Amino acid sequence: MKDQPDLRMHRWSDEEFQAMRGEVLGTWPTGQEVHLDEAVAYLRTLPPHQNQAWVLKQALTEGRTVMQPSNLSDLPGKQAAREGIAVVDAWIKVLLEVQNDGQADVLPINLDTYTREINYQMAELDVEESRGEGRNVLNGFPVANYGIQGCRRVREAVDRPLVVRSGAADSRLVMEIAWASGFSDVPCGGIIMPTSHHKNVALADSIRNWQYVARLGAWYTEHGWPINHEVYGRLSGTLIPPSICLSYIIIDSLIQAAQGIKFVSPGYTATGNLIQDVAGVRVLKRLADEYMARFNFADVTVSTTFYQWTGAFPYDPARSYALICWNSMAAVLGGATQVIVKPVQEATGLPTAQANAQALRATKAVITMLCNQKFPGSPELAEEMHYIEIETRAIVNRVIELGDGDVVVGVATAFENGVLDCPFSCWLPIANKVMPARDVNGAIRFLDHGNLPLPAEAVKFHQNQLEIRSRLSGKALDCDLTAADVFAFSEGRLTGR
Amino acid sequence: MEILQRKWDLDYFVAERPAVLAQWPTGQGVDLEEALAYHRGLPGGRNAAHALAAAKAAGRVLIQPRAGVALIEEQIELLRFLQDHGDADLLPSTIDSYTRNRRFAEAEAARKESLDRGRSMLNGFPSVSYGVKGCRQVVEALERPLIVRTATPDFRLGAEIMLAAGYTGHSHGAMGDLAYSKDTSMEEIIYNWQYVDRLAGYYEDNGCPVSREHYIPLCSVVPPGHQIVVTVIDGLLQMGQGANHCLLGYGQNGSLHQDIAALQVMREMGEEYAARLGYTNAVVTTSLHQWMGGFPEDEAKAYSIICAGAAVAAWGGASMTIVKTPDEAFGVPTREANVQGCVATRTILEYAACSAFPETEQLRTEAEMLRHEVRAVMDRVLDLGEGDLARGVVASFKAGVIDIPFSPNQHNRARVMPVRDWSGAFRYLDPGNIPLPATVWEYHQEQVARRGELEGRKPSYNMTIADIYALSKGLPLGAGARLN
Repeated sequence: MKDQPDLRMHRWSDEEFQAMRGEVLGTWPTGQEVHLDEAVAYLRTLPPHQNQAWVLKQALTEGRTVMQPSNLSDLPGKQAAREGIAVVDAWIKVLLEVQNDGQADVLPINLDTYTREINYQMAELDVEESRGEGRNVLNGFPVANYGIQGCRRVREAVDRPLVVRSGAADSRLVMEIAWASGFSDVPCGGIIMPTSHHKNVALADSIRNWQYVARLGAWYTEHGWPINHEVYGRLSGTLIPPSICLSYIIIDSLIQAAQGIKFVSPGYTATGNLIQDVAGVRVLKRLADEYMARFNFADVTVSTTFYQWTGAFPYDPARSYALICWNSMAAVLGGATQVIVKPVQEATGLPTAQANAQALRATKAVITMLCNQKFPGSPELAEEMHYIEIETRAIVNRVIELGDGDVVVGVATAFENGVLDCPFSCWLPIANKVMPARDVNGAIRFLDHGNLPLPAEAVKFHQNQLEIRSRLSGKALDCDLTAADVFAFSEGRLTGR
Repeated sequence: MEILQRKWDLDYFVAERPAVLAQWPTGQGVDLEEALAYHRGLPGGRNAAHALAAAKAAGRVLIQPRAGVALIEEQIELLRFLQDHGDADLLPSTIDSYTRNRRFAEAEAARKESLDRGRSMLNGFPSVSYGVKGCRQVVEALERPLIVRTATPDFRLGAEIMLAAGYTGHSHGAMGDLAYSKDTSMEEIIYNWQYVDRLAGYYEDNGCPVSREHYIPLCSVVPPGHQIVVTVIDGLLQMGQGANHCLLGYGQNGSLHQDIAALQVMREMGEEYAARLGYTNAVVTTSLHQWMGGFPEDEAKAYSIICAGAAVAAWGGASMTIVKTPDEAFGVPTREANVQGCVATRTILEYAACSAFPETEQLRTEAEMLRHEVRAVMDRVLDLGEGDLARGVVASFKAGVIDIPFSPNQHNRARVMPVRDWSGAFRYLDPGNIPLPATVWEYHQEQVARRGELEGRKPSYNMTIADIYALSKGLPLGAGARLN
């Protein structure tokens, strides 16, 4: 591709942006339907409570926690096949069920795999096949294929902000169509997406693609339809030490913010240890605000998102409910603005709309129960916050140094030498030297911190905490501990045996 | 008759027994010496008092569900299901209403009818109908300690039979019964429960301790300070009869800080007053009763209450929790629902054991207020009894120093009005004649006034009415949950 913007942390000029837009909109016919002026006129007709940036800002101001179901996946597709209706109509039915029975504050649509892989041709074949045969072959919503018309049908049928759950390394065309249709949020991140979901994607491509989405989001924000960017901290979803999660989401928040967006909601992933989770959310808010100010993005509104357990879920619904309620307590007590709610049947495969609604109602009940109660400071909490903070600072600052003040430049080197690293990532270029394990209290520690530039004090702390476990259990400090921990939470305990 | 705290002489106790055992033919099957031999022969881990003391020492929380049906085979099957699938640590036998009210003939008829129809025609387990032999079948079929669960002014015969059968835990005491009887006098209730305590004391004197458990069924409307007072009194009454293993129950009200503080203070006060009255061998443990008000029909919301209760049990240092079920709103739960309640509770207990709830200013304030209140009332009770607790209790009810809101018992003064504050914590709207220290009363008024500001109305009994209506819908916390 020619004339790509330089790979650095600068706001793309209008020329750079427009040059790339032409290409993006040309990748599929529905791209031609996007006209920014028409879109802005349409978005003016939508009430503010259907906008995610507005909803999160309200919640942040009032100290409330809003709920979004995590994944509706291919559920609507299945429903479409069963009932012989169009996939769009099935999505609307499922979203309404989650909105009305589940009291969801925010509604997600998930992209199908072809759309995530930018294979619109195959997606189109499947759309036709679904229509013709009354059977679904799509595991998500093909935004590009349905185009503005299809997306606006969804927008007009429901009454909550809509989020596109992408996970792709390139969702540029999708977001063009989604924003023009009245969607207002996307889990994103140029360095996050390869680490989370991709084997071979080039870092530079992923960063550029998400810079594009942010640049587009900034344009809409500047034209009266603010876009929220939920920087997605799920990563590999397996035993992520909080400081790794925080480093990733703060760095990607900075990269996105450089394009001029004004609303960001970094997403923290639950560890399951209450103190560590409360500490994680609080440090996240503090550091995200601080780094935004340091890079002169102080006018960016930072809310926080809390992911309920993203690892293996229990099969037993009673355990599943317990896990969901437990995570919800941490989200509320930690002061998260948004909680991403797992369905009760997460372990058994495809969750029904009811399983989503049940989890939402359980979460809602916890939010209501705890809304007037605060989890105040304590020595344990202060200690946990201290280490998460100094570790995150050390990693983020080293990335900034490596790029001579430019985070985008810094991340490339940081991944090469393992300054940025994540356990259990599927992305081949990652150093993959970090090994986590839980301590006796179930907090996630570094068994091996690889090349992460952690302060000596923190390394020693993690080592000590794990040695206590080793001493009490009589087991050596090795990756057998980690293996036991991977399954423990779904079996009803934090630390493996 | 004058009721005193001192331990009944053995001769007196022995002389009282024949009349009790004569109430129903199965009473003749009770042989205390045989029973003691049976208790001594029970395998380790089958004694509730020992299990609770061990849990206290290890900082663990035991789980007990509720369950009782008419037929022995079904009772066994139900309990085995809870033991094997719910991993319940303590197994209950909840007694049916006829047996509780000593209508043994009717219980027996319903038991037979249950047998004919092949399904339970009773709302619990008619232990007196079955006698020692029948109850022992239940004990022998299971591997965990068995607990008698009842609430009645007079369960003397049932206690004789079930303890002799090998049950090692027995719920309820005199104070708790004010929720279940209309006109039984305080003296009579205390006397009847002293009998049960003396019986438990006899087992204990012979090396076979029985866990005596107390709580007020009206706990969803009684402010925690008063819950602690009456429950600790029940504990002290049992200690007076030589039953040292005392399990004090507290009912979850949903206010995290108040629930945690109350559990901590309940144990502390139980130990403090046991020491003051000279019961140096007392073993005081606490339990958390998951929300005793109405449950939401939505199982998702029910789970959230169960989970919050489990977390509070762990953080408040309880040694046991009585679990509710996700089907609670629909009446007697299925065994599957009961297992689900146990499993969800166990899961949260595991998680919560990893993270202590911080010792905070709010928690300290709440605990301090509870201590002030409990000591003031307890000391007044002892004063009124001129040093004798039992005498003091009788006098205190007359004077309204002890006063249980909404009790149906006519000897209760019923001048106290509870209300929830802005955060959902329980306070006194009107403390009646309860001798609250001034600092405590001011604190309560401040917290309630704050609710008034938020709701834009003056604190009044309308708030209490709103709270009571809200009870039936689940935990009445959160903005708007208690407005009507």
